[in-house]
Amino acid sequence: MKLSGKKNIVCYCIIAVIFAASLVVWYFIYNAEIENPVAKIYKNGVLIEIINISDYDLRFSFTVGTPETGINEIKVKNGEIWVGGITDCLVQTCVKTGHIGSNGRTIPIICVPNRLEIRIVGGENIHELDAVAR
Amino acid sequence: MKYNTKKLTLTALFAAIALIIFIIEAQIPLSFSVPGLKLGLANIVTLLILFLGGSWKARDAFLVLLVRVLLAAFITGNTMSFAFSFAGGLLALGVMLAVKMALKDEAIPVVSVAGALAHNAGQIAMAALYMQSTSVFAYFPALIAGGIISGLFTGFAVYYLFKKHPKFIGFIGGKK
Amino acid sequence: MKVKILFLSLVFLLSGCNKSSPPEPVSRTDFALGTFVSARVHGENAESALDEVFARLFEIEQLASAKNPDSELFYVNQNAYEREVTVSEELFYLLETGLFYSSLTDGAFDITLGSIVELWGIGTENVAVPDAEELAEALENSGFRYLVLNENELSVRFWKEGLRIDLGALAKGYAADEMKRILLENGVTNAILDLGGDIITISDNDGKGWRIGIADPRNLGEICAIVRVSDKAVVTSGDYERFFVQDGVDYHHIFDSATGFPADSGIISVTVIAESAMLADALSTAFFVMGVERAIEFARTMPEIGYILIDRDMNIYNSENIEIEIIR
Repeated sequence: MKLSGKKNIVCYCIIAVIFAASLVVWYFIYNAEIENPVAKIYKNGVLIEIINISDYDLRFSFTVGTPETGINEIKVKNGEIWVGGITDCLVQTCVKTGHIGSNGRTIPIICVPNRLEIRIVGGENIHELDAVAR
Repeated sequence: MKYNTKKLTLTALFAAIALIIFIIEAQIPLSFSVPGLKLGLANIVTLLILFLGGSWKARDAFLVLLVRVLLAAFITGNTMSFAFSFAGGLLALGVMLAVKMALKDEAIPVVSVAGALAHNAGQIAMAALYMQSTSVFAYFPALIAGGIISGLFTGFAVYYLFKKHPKFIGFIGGKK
Repeated sequence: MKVKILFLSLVFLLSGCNKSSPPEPVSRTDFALGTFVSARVHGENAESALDEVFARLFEIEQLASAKNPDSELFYVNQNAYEREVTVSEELFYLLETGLFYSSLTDGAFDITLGSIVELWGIGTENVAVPDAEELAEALENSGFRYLVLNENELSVRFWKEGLRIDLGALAKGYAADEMKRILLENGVTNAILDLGGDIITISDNDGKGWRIGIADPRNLGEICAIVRVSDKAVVTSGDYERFFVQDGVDYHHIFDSATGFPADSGIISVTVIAESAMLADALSTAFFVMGVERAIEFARTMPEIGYILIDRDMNIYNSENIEIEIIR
């Protein structure tokens, strides 16, 4: 049982490269500036709402889901969207993810227990319009 | 498969230790992690059993894993968490076995890192399946980095257990 | 973008001392009638007008919800078979208009499908394809011909015990029309309202017209056409709005009064452009049930309304009287 040896050294090198690469990729995923961000909210894999987050200077919030499917409270203000308030999931990671939508924070908010997802995408088409009928 | 009292007791003890680690791990707040995903510190027990040798075989590791995830599911009452832990734990076990056989010189930390990465890959795949969405993979790089750190940690922990406490290893039936 | 900001601030600076400069538009969003409602309003009294508009919105929500046990409609649904129920002028107006649209479209739009809507339970936890016998019974008890309104007494009577009124679609259109009325009364010059995808506009956006995207029914979040309107309502009904899947089959929320099942006319999205949001709301549902040929035939009798029909193969049929840009 030993830590050195040719095979081991090669393995540690590979691990080091993967580690560095994942950090670089993570940095770019975490800091991806998106023009005209729009938030898409999915519940159970179905798109339920598209929000033009930069339209709202004043904070507003709403809830998604039922006690059966799990409730998440979503808040929007100044081009940012986040989960907080009365969110009934045990892990609360969706809350800890924090604000997304501005400062290049475009990592999706994911609440696995409630099957909720908030994605930031570029909304070029929608922004040129006054409204979308749907 | 023959179990004497000592081995049976030890197996139960391993399962209990794995469960405790699993529960403690669930309390560690990780602001960047995806909900339902764990770093996989409980894999340390699987890793230990795989390297014990002697009368300890891969199937014992599987048994401990099964008992651990079942008990965790009963305690938390969360069937989803069961599916996630089982997928991650099983994949980790399989990959650790394969890597251990490929690298004949028994490099514990390397095997451990491979196991941790497989663990996270299994869980993220389950999460994507459950969410019906591929967005979860945006968190994959973070989980790879996290998996490497936790894999190295558990790997060196087991390595030093073998190196500094050969008497203990002998006592629990591993080869010295 | 930067140039635009620069230009805007320049304009702002130049017009800073000019008293007659138009005030900044005011925006507000709230959650009412089960959906997002947002308004962007230009005008002197925009703020106070918006206060009034949103207060009115919650009043209408109280009036016309078939699910809320405190609503007037709920009371009517419970009692109108036993005896004649006198209702408020406002609810009577809603029922009267609903009944008129129901007979106008020969039941393609029908306000008496409440028990069928309830049976399917789309949007609730108990959503499922109903039992055939139960559905046949509900169908037997539905139909606008069993709803009798007495104009002199402002009273309502059902001829079938199981009849239930559902004003789901109509109430949103009514609310939109009311919001527009209040804004106009308050001297608002330009405004655009979005009631969960039902759009209503006031005036012509300072001559530019309002550019409204039409949602792509098979690629959510994208648009498949843009229309330019002034002073009109734009209402879309689609099978993608609310639906559920059972045994691999999609069931949406627009029911055919002839079958009790979600309408299967080949149309997947209808947009109607009309003066009144209430009319647009009713007609978009009716056209969805009618199918392309019948809808186009029907629209000939109402030359003032515009429409965009999209069928299963993504063919787009639109009336000649609208300014439309189709995006492929």
